[in-house]
Amino acid sequence: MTNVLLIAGSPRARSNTGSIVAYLAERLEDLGAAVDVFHVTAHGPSDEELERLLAVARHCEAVVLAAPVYFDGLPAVTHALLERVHAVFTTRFAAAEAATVVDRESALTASARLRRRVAALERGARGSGGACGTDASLVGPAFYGVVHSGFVEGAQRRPALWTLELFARSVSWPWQGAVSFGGTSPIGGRPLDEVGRLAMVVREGLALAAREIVAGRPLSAETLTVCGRSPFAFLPRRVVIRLINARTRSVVRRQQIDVTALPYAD
Amino acid sequence: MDALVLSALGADPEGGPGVMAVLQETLRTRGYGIHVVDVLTAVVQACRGCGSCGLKTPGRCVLDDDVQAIYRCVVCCDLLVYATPISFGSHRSELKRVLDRFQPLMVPFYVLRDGEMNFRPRYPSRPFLLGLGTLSTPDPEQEEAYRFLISRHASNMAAPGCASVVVTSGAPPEMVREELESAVGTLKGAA
Repeated sequence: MTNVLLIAGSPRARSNTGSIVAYLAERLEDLGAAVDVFHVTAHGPSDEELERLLAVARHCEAVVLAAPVYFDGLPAVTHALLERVHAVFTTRFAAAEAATVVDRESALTASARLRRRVAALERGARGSGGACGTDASLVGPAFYGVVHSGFVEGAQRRPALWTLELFARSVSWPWQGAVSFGGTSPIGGRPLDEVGRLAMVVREGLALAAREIVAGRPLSAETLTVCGRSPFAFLPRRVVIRLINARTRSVVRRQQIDVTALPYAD
Repeated sequence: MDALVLSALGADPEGGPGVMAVLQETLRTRGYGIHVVDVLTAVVQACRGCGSCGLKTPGRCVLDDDVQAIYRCVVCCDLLVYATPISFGSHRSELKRVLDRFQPLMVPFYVLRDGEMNFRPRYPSRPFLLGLGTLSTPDPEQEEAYRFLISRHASNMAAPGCASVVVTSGAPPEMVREELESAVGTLKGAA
């Protein structure tokens, strides 16, 4: 059975990320995977929670991190989580190296393990670029990303995807790619099945991604293409913008809101 | 002329102070009054995405902490500097916590800018943007990601211009100064 850890990287309690993660968990379970879900929350995990998270990750074939885009990147709490995971890896690696100096026997074991790990990583790099054929306990879990935002353009999400990839590289978790969804605002924290047509792209994309995650494959070009479609593609963007603004403007008028206030300019 | 420096350089105790000193000297030579906020010691709550700054309390963040003073500086400075050790091609999370709070600087209406959907800026004048990232060892991929991020920020905040500088901490100060001077020099109208 494939063990998958899903990390919901949103600080909000009821979030679109939560909706995405719940739907992906169902698809993975349909395919026979055992799924653990971890929510980052506004405060991030305590040290104990982080240890538990890492313990779960160690026994997983795949880790999927899903996150919204905040100010062109991952939310700060989610980014901080990655920094803490990286710090733990760096510290333990340094500790293992220090141990090798004083203890000849563990030095031999450690260097043998290191050689196997490097060899496994190289095999992975030479193969399809994924974890296929490599032992998860040696190279760490295969790492996938899911990034979404209200903006429809893919470039808006690129820095966040890049951060996930660079994190994977820093802890030597095989990077399997990330799906990227735009126009996710209409989800409104509801289950994806209740959103209808405007979440169709997300549902289809996650179903395709789930199959590849369970198979331990990198995300395919087809999956990335399906996910990259805008849910508003049937309308020109200018029309989309006008429609959204008109809705906001009607709330502003009804409630007589001073929407263009400059509170910090006095 | 005022420059606001939001700095996470303290996260790199070895290289950070040297880079910060060169940054301040470069800006002072160009005639800037400098205000530095150390984001590692500032009290900054994480944005909860509550959306209040859109329609409930237009333009105002409901979280009461040191970011309130930062808003007042951002809306009247001429140059905004993000200074940070590069973390996975991005800012350190301590600096990102501040930046995540910048939504009140936008009005919740969308516009098409640079061919993309974006929010309309709230304040009529916006600062030029300078990104200063440090790496412990040269890393072309992180550098490329970081420079791309700074250009995204400039576009999304409708900055009149932007530049990014990436230095290896431990690089000689003259080299850092040269890079910074040429980057600040490209910000036309800023100095």
